[in-house]
Parts: sequence; C-alpha cells; structure tokens
Amino acid sequence: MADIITIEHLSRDYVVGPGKKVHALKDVSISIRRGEYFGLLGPNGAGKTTLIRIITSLLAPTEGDVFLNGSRSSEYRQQIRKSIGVVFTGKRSHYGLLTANENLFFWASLYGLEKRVARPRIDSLLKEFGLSEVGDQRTETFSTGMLQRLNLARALLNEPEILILDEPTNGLDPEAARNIKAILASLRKRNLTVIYTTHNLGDADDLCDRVCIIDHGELIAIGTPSELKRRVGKEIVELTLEGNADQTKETMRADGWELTIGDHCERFRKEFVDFSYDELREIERRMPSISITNVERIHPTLEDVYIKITGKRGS
Amino acid sequence: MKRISIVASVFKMYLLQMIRSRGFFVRGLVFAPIWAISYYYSMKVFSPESSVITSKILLGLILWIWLYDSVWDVSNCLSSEKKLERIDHIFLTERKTSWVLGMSFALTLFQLLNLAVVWIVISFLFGMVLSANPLVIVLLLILGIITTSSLSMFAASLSFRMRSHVNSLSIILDILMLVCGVVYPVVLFNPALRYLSYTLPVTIMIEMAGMDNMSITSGFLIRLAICIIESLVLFGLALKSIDHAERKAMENDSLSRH
Repeated sequence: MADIITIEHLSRDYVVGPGKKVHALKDVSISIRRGEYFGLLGPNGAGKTTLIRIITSLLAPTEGDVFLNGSRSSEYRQQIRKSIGVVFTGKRSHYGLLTANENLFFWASLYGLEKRVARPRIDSLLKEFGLSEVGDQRTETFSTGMLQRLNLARALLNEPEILILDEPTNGLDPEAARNIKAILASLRKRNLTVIYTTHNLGDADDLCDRVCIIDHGELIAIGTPSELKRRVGKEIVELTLEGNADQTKETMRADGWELTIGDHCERFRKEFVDFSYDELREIERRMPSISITNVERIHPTLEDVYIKITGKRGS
Repeated sequence: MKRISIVASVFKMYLLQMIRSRGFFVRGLVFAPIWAISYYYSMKVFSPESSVITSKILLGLILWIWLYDSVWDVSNCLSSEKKLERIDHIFLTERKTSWVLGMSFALTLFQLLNLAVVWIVISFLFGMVLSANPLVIVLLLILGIITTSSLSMFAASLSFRMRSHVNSLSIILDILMLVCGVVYPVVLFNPALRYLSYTLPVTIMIEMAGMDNMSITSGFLIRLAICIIESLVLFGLALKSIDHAERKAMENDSLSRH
C-alpha cells in the first residue's frame, strides 16, 4: 500500500510566556498508508490534537513537514483541505435552529456542491447513518450520539480521501459509542484512510490496522496492535490445580510459577513468550498426585501495552 | 456564479436561523413602543413645522440603530463561531469569503426587517409618511445593506483579531459611529475629520438619505458610485483582515481558543 500521508520530523512549540516554550511535538515521523485505519493513542496533552491540526493545515509546524499524496501541506493547502473530512472532539459543527437536512445542505454549499449533487448525497448519508427519520427535525433536539452521527455525515459530504476523527466516541454513552464504532467499521467499504485519535484503547484495538502511541509530544511506539502486544506483552498462563498442596507449591515455585489464590484449589500463573502444552504435560509427569483442572491463557491487550509504555492507564 | 450561489445559500441559512430565533418578533414588539415614544418627544423638542424634518430625525435614528445593531450582530456571530470552534470547520471548506459575505448580508437584512417592524408601528401611530421617489428608497435600502454590511464586516474583522472581543468592539464601534456622521452631522466636523468621515461609505449613504430632494440627480449618482467603490474597498480590507487572523492562528493556534 502506498503512503497517503507522510509526516517528517515534525515539531511544534507553543509560546506560553516571555521566553517560555512548551514542546507539544518533538521530531515526530509517521507514514500512513492509503486505505488504512490509523490510531493515534496517548494521554491528555500528549500532542495528538496538535498533530491532527497540523495534518489538516489549521496549524503550522515549528519544524518538519507533512506531505499529503506527495504534496507539501503548507504549499497546497487548498487542495489538501478538499481531500479531508474532519470531526473534532467537542466542537460544534451544526446549527441548532436548522434541521439536519438544512445543516448538511449548508455545509454542502460551503464545499461548493451543486444542489443536484448535494441532494442525493445528503439523503444517502442520512440513510446510512440512521438519521433519515429525523432529517427534518431541528438539531437542537438531537442527542449527543445523533449529533456525532451528523458530524460524521458532514465530514463525508465532500467525499474525502482521508477522514480525521478526534476522539469521536468521547462523551457518548456506551450504546451511542458502539453505534459510532459500527458506522466507522462500515466505512471500510469506502476505501477511506481514517486517522483516529482516542484514549479508548478498546476502540483502537477493534478498529485500527496500525496504531502509534504519543506521549509528551514524542512518538514512542508504532505498529499493528498485535505487533505492539507482542513487543511488550508476554502471554500469561493461569493454572488451577488440585492435589497435594505443599508439594505442589514448592515444585511450582521452583519452576517459576507464582501462586495467586490459595483456597480450596491452587492457582498459579506464569508469563510465557511461547507457551506450549508440553509444559503442562511435564507438570503432570513430575507431580502425578495433582491434576490440572483448568488452564486459562491471558493475552496482553493494547491497554497493557499502553500502560507499560506510558506508565498511565487509558480509559 | 458558483460563489454567488454559495453566498446566497449561506445568506438563506443565517436569515432562517435569525427568524427562527424569535428575536425578530420580540425585538420588533419591544422596540416599537420605545421608538414611538422617543419619536413623539423628539417631535416636541424640535417642534418641526414640516414633516420632512421629522422624517429625517427618524431616518437618522433608524440608521443609527441599524448600523449599531448590525455591527454588533456580525461581530457576535463571528465571535460565537469562534467560541464554538465551528470556525475551524468553516475555514477547512476554504470558502470563508463567501461565508462572511453571506453571513453579514443576512444579519444586516435581518436588522432592516427588525426596523421595518418599528417603522410600520410608528407610521401607524403617528401617520408618518416619508416623501420620496420609491426607486430612490429601494436604491437606498440596497445601498444601506451593502454599506452597513461592509462596515459591520470591517469592524467585526478587526475585533476578530483581538483577544477581548467585547471591549475592542465597543471601542471600534464608538469611533466608527462618531466618524461616520450618524451621531453628529459631518458638517460639524473639522476638515481633517470630515475627509476621514467621507472614506466610510456609510457617511455618504447617510448624506444621500438626508438630501432635501430625494430623487435621482447627477449628484445622487456620483455619491452612489463612490459609496459602492468604498464599500468594496471595506469588504476587501475586512477579508484581508480575516485572512491575516487565520494566518496568525496557524502560527499561534489562537483563533478558536480566545
């Protein structure tokens, strides 16, 4: 897959007082491939929104460059803005006194779409996002979830190549968030490139082909969710044993197993890079008086990766 | 042609919102009696013999309110788009010129509609008739919309660049109102201030509205041409100013964060 966005040595400083600067981004380089769902992860203040604003050309970098389809974004701002759709977190892009239809028509006209093109496109987007029934209702009556779906419809009006979503499930109830995730998953058929910032690691794990983790303005990890999990996380195997307790504990500890719960049964856990069931057969051979009643294999999540890398907990 | 259709669409959407906000009726109903009373007393104070003079007093007051309210509304609209951070989405469409034009035309016309309600109430109460050529009235109204929106956009664009929007707008508005001849007639100014005043299209429009014989003469047409040219210059300056604000925001990330 060819790269659609190339970010080269990007840095951004903010002046916060006389002689005082905050480094929001430090020498970040990322390539995003055409058609992929790319997750930008990081704690609050990590620099995710700054990066998004630079990609959309709303903010100039202090150093470095962003290339979209090979064109430098600072030089071809107009063309680049036409090829992107953006949903910013917490920002209103609708007018409460206008209906959903009128809102979308307003944005369609700002995108320069003619009425005969805009009308069917608006109808189809409203239908796709489950808003057809309320198309003639004022948006001041909409729930947060409905407004976010309307935001997505607005961002897709100009049929962009790249869709940029800044924490799209932020502030939504679980059902509305699930709806948005389902919509995003369904957008794959459009062959869009999606850049998705979030600190909901479950969302990123489910939706993104690749993710990067940014902390204190620095890129600290990049790869597919499974690559990142493999890189930092070892599989944990948890065994439940029954039998001679004292002998079991000593032998298991000697083999590197850690006792977790000692109630009526014994549970032991151990980290493995490459677990094999031969390990269990070896335990049963060496301790014939015990029996393994349960084996649980716990795979690392993106949350584990995130905590290990940033030392912080995601939502 | 495409740009005109975008401006028309933006104009329609903003006007629709203003009318739906119910402010139209409420403001009309609240202002009409206040205006009627102030008009009544102004007639008493000036003891006019001729209805033309009273019409001019009323016209002056109406222009003053129209200008003041329009500038406030355009500026507040820019400010609220900024505050709600909708401005980023608008700028991303790369149609900010059409957007600003459509929006300021809509708000200026909305103010005119507001004043029309007041005018109708006053005319009904006092039997006021403005004697003028209907074509001149239509021309003056169109010119009024153009000059008022150019001034609104200019004032709003200046305050758009400043951190404290309300304070800066008040100062800008007060200076503009003093200079454009709405509050004090231009004839009272010293020559330097008078020249400055005539650089504003509103001053000329006010002068045209106050001409004794409101008909299409060569003097009227010259003023009309100057007025349109000056309005276009003001529109241009306002757009430059908004462009500058956007460029500064790209450097400082401050446009939607004030």
